[in-house]
Amino acid sequence: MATAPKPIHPGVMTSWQLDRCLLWRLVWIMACLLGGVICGVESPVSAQVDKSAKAADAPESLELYFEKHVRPILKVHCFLCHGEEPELAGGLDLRLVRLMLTGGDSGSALMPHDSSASLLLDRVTTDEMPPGAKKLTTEEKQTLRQWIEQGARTRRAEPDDPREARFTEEELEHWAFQPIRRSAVPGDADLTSTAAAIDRFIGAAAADAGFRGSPSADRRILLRRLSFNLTGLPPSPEETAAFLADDGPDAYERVVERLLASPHYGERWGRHWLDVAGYAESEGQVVGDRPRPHAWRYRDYVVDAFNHDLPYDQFLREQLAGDQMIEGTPDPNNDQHARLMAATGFLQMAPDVTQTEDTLLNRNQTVADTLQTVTSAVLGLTVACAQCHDHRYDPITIEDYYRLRAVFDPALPIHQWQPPAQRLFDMTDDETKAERANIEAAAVAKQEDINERRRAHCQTIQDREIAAAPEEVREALRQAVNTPAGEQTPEQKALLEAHPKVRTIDWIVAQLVEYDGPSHRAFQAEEKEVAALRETKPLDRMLMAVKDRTEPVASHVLFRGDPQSPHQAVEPGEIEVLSRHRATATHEIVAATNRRLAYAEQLTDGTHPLAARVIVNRVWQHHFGHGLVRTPGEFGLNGQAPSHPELLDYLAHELMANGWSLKWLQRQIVQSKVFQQSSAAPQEQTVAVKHVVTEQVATEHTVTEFGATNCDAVATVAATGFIAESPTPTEFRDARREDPDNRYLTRMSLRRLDAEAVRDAILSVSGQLNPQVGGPSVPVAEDDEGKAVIGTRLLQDGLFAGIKDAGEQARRRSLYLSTQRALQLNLLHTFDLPEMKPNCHQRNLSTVTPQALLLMNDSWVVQAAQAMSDRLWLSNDQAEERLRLAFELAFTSEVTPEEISACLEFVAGQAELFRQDPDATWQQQLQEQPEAAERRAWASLCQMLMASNRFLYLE
Amino acid sequence: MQSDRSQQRGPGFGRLCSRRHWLQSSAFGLGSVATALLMRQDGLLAQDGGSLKKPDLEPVVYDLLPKQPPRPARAKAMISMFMMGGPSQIDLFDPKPELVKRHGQQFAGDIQFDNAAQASRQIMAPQWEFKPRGECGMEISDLLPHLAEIVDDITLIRSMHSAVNNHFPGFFAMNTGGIVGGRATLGSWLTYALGSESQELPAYVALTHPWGLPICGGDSWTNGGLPSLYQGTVVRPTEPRMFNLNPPPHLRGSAQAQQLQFLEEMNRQHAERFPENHDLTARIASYQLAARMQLSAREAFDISDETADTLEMYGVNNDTTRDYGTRCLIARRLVERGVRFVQIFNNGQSWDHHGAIATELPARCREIDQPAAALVKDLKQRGLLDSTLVHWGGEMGRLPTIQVPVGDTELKNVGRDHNTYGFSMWVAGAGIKGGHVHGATDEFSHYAIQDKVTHHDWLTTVLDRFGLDAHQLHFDVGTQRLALVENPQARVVSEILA
Repeated sequence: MATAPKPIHPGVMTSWQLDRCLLWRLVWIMACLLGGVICGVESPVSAQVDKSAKAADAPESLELYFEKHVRPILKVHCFLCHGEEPELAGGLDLRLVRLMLTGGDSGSALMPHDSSASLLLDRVTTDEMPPGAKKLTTEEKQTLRQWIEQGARTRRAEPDDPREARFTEEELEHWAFQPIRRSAVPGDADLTSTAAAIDRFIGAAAADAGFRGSPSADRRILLRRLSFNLTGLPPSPEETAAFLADDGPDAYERVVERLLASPHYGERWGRHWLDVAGYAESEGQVVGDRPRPHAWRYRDYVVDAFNHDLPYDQFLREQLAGDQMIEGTPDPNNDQHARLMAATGFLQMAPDVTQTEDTLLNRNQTVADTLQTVTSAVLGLTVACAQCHDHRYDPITIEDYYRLRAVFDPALPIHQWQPPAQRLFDMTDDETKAERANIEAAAVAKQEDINERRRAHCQTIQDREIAAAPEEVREALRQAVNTPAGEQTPEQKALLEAHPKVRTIDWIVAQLVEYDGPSHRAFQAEEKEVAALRETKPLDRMLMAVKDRTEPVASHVLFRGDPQSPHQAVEPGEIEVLSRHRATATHEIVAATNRRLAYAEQLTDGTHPLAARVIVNRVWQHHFGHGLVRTPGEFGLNGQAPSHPELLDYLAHELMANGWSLKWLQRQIVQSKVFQQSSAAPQEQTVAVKHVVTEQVATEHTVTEFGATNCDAVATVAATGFIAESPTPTEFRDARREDPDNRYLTRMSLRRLDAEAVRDAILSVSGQLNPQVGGPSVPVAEDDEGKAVIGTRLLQDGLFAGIKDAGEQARRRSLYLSTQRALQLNLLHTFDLPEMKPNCHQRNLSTVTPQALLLMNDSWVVQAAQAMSDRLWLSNDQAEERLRLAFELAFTSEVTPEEISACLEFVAGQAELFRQDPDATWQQQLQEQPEAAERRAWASLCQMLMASNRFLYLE
Repeated sequence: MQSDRSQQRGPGFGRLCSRRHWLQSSAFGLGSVATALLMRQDGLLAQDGGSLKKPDLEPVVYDLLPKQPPRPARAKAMISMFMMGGPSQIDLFDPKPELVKRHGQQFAGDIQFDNAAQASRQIMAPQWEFKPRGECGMEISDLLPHLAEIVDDITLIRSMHSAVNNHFPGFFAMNTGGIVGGRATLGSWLTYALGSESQELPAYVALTHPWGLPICGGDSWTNGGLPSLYQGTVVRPTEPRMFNLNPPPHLRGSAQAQQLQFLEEMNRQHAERFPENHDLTARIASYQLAARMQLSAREAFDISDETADTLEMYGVNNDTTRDYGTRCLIARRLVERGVRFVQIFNNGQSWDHHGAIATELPARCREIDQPAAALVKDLKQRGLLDSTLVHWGGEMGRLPTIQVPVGDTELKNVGRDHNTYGFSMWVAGAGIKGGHVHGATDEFSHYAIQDKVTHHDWLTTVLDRFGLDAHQLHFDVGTQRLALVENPQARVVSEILA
């Protein structure tokens, strides 16, 4: 790393930055405790599962080195003042051991082998240092002490110039920055598919650790899993029947193809990407959050891209630089141009409050959030740390950060800023424009006609009021009222005051409600027609898109992230560490014009270490609940190492070899035996399985490095496929007990449905789902008590006057409900729909009481249960048949005789209670419809089916 | 590490870290913590079953667990009786002999009208007599005879000053520290800083009027930029008092009990297939807890177990006072059960007496006077007044001159226009002096001239009672730092503290 530190001036971190750093620190501390994760070269499954119990005492036996164990602590807490800033605090530089020995104003900071004589340790153990609220943890202090007592070792000779030690080899060698290589598949010879390779990799690691996989789930469970995973919806009973009836060898593949071809596939997977892109339909003001009414165009672009299996490399290029892929000026009549422009909405998703508060700080925040979204989404790196100073964990310099940012500066220049409304790009085609203009003209004509007739009517009122005056003053009165107020004589004024009802036409128009209420209301009704006419206009095509500024935009390193302290100029480029192993120094090739396209092209040229790994991990994550890297937005040193690094690289390589097709990747994953495993504990699984002593396996496993696998295990896997058979089950460890997080993937993890899937599934099984794809979002508004509901707020005289129902639209998939940042449909919010600040990599799946209350009591849920029960009621006269359908709908399951009797008993009990309900209206209804009590009981049953874990969780 | 994290707790730090993904906020700020406590007790923490902690980049998570304030607190809870519209201090709290003397004369000084079209300079004396009350001799008008009985327990502030005209901005000033809608309300700040003592009831409750919501609607109890966990929960004046907390009418009672029993059986059978999955057992427990919460909440809202004396004291048996009495009584019951902040609202801006003050003002007073006084008496007799801050007041007061509605030539329906430069409110409990009058207005009760108390001072004083420093309490959202009180000059009105 030849880049020298630049002069630095004092400044203050904003609270936001500070908080971010505190968070980082906490995360780092946790990582530290786990030992080894930070440096990530150990085989990670072992690091995370087997050594967890021993993490705390690991340092006792470990040989500690400065570069690996101590420097990361000092870098976080101390380097800024004692090294990176031009003026060394206390004259002490802590960046090299050599310099610690030399010491500063207070003498040597370090006495190897004697921790009590080392000032460094003294300052931090007494919490004198670092200043501020954040101190070293006990564990960090212990590491320091131990390192000193072991002799304050370094791993290698230290450079003469501390600036050359900006990053250590350990940091640069972090796995995620290394090139992607096609890993050798365990037991490679007779490999038939990538799906089989997945089984080999997972099986080998599991067998290696003494675990074995689970048998395949039954077909109904598989179908439910596939349907939710690929489309976010449960299978219909017809689809289930068709699948069960298909006994062809490729029945499963056919289902997969059907689901991948469904438009609901794009809706489901588009939503996953929208999380990562930070899709939100508002700007993010804390007070008065402004809607983004055109954001849905980007949403539709994304859904469409997934449905058409747009190759992922192309998908990235379009989102980063769609505008630059158009030759010449974008043509509104060219749908392909419009699509490419819409793609760049990706760069417009970050919160942006500059429409209401256009300050340099807020502009800078928007750009920083955009960069945060792009880097975490595409690179799986949070580079934001490097916005103020060199990254605290990753080998990313502040110059790297601003070089990367320079790629985007011409599109989002903080000194030549346009607030969001001005950035909208009109791609409405000519025909639509003409039609809109015609309708507008008609509306204007209609309004003018109303205005004219209203004035004429007001004239008659004025005439009438004048006529009511004594005849001798009428003419004078008419003259007075027609004289502008400023020109009236005192006599005219007096005359008008004496006849207060005689007013100008304008005044009477404004007060028509007082003069003639019925006419006023009639004109109002006509004006509503004008509004209705305007609503018939075809949609315009306003896009949240980017376009580079034509004038040159300068890019600078911003000292401590402060937009008011620009330092040296920088040229656009990729983060250097991501270019280290590549043929050309790609960090320098990003061109002066079309920077974003040049950037996107090097990102997708097949040699980038992150782009493919990150997307493979995300696709994996949405099938298994967790990625192979469990920090899908953080592949840096702060993140978790992959549980199966060879598999990750293998799939990344194969994805690129298969044209970056995500549908191809989906097929490989869902066709693997790993994916098809059962979630449930085997029936016979009891204490019969004897556990191999944990320590023994752990010890063996710690020495295993990337790429090296236990030969015996490989042999077993190669011979038997994924589910390693063994003569005696006693040789396997109990993964449910010893690997509760399922890092070895020896079963399918049980997962709660996410917010959208819960609501969509309720709509689907109750037969209410409106399957319309695409288009403007369905409005969500706060009702009078602040509960977010579907519909539009009605205002009368500026005051809340109820919610306008959205009709059929209210039953569309959750993807299409408007998602303003802090205004989310109550149900979705309760089931953890994330608020985009700025984006989301992993959904929270909570288990909280409001969810229970909602499913028990919410009127929408009760109504959906009624709809489902109506569906059952109409389907068949026989209770058992109805139950069969109910279980098919809700659980994709057959109903057992025990369940039938339990359900019927419940229904009978409920019906009996309902018959006794003394409510007068209800009793009246019972008189007319004696079966009403039973129908209500069925609805009650349906509600419980939808409230059950069997419905809410996916096996 | 534990201690390291706990250092970050407390209001000053804005963003708090927690390792619990799943303990998440809810739209109605209820229950997540209760679940957490329950799970912890039962050892049911999802994804915590002996597995290691992961260095995930977890989202910042907030909760409602009770938190220690940085300084000793005098108040544990607050009940605010907000009188939206601006009750007339001239006719209720602030006697001015000068006005009586000059009744009908023209007001000579500088006057701040709101409605110029109906403005008048004609001075109007209070229409009701003032008398010294209690041992302290505080003067209160005959419109508030019940308040007159508790003056020895309250401080009357006669020098309120916001200079923020109109109801929306005035309310926001008094309740959010700013003058635009959408800022976090006082109750949100208190629950953000201190959590709640109750894990089975909402932390922050707004009790609304049967005739409608206060004019600011949802902005009256919004969490603004604070996490939605801290939004006020509307407790409706009629059943169902809370959404999703009561079963739909036809499922109430045994029907839902049967449902939950059936559901639990189904869930238990399901969970047997996944013996290692704690999430499933947690959800089973969450339904049990939900059922219990329904009971606790219903119990808290159900005043039928109160004694006849208590009901009588609050005026629950009287048509005029029944609604407000019931709501005051519910407020006491909530505070008794650990709720942090309760605000009782009137509908619309029903204290806004631009006209017909002679009939409307007494009507409003009759509805609230007895219940409001009963609340203080009741809190006192139960030993709760020491730890409960009670507030009675609106967002403004009224002018010493008449306002004449259009066409009212006989001055039958006159009222008073807004006055935001000098108005009154009273406070009690939590170490506030009893029998004390603070501050004064000029001889016409138009401008506060002595010991002026601004809305910022008031909010600073409230936070102080809870052991919080208004100049420290904040929350960061991106580049935006939010605070209840942004005025560096704001001070604790220590003169009213015992």
